Amino acid sequence: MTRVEYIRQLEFSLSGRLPQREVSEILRDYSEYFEAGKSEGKTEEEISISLGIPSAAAAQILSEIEEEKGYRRKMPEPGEPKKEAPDEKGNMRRLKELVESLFRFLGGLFDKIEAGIKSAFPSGKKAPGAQPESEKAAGQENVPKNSPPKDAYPPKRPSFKGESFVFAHQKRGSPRLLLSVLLALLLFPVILLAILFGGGLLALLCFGIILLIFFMVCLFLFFLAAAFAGSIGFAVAGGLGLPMGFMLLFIVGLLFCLAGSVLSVCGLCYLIKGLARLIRFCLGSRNWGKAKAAASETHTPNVYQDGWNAPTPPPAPAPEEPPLSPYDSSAYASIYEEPIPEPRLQFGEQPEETEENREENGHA
Amino acid sequence: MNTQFRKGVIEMCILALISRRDMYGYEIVQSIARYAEIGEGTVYPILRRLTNEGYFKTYLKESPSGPARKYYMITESGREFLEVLKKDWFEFAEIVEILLRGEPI
Repeated sequence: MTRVEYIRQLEFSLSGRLPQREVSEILRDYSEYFEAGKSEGKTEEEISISLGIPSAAAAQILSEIEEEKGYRRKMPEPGEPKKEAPDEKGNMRRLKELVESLFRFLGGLFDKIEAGIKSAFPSGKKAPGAQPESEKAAGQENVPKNSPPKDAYPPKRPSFKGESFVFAHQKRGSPRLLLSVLLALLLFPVILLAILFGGGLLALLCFGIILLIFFMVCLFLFFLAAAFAGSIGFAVAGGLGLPMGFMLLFIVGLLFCLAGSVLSVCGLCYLIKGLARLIRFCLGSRNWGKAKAAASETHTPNVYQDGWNAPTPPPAPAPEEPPLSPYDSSAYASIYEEPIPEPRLQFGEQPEETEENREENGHA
Repeated sequence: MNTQFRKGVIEMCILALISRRDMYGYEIVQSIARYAEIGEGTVYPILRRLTNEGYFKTYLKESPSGPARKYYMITESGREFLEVLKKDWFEFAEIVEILLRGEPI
């Protein structure tokens, strides 16, 4: 291909993956390469063939940059000041701090249960983080819905007792961390909602009750006043007409009471069920199986949920492939991101534009 | 030449070449690609990485034919790194030779 076409395809492969300044620099270098080649008498065609496919070159450039980052982290070169990768480390640190603070909050919530668990499992060598949550979730399953462990989600201020729990929790891998962060983040708004929702409905309930009381008091006072006035007849007649408004108030008050109480109870129940399901979901993929196995020692034997500890025999080892000859260079190609393009074309030959190449060349 | 060998020593060869005299991109690629039998497209990315790591400095110089050329010049840390690589290489080559010749270690 021509120089212009090569540069164009190279730009297409690199744009967006690197800062524009670097991309421009690279394109300039390749243009210079073409010019230098031409001044030696080669044609643009030959030069582009010897350079290989533009997208392969781009991939190589990008992989070298990745390698460079890797070097910087592992090997401080002699004479080179040790450069950290500040972005990634800073982000990781910030994330860790955020997670720690979230876990402190969680720890406070799970405090009571943890204490209960520790007395039940004195040997608990596993990370205590695995058990309290699983126990809570196990408790959710076995306990009927109307007596949920309400103290598990008390909208109270977090205590800092759960810190050992926090850090034992963190020592595992990062997918675990991620799931825990997700759980904590989800709990926050849900708890807030619970407070508002439950609080709002309870307010309705209280309002209804107040109205009722108000009505009762008014009625009582009215009749009292009428009795003092002396004429019962007048009281009865008046009693029919005037308190119509009070009658309405009474009905409304009653309705409010009913609505408030019913909705509050229902709402709280649903919320708690939803939260239990959420927690089970978050934990399930991690250590539900293990925790179940541990819990099943004291509880009745349960069916393993996802068969983590199911006693299946390990699969037979796959038959080994014949060892590769050390000079079989195709085997080593997998070590690198892109295989080094061997010059497979004769002088003057066009690279075939097969379906594969078409995609690579950016025509897709 | 075996692929594994090639890639491993490319860095060293680039450093060694440029430590002799400043060269521009095309020169470097041609020299190495011809002798080490690797694709020309693979030299430039490595050269670029080494430059980003501070082993080379670049400067532009006017050329008689065509636009200005970017010359690569080895730096102090580049020389140090080259020494480290050379030492490793010779030690390694010695051991390999002993093993291959069947001589006692």
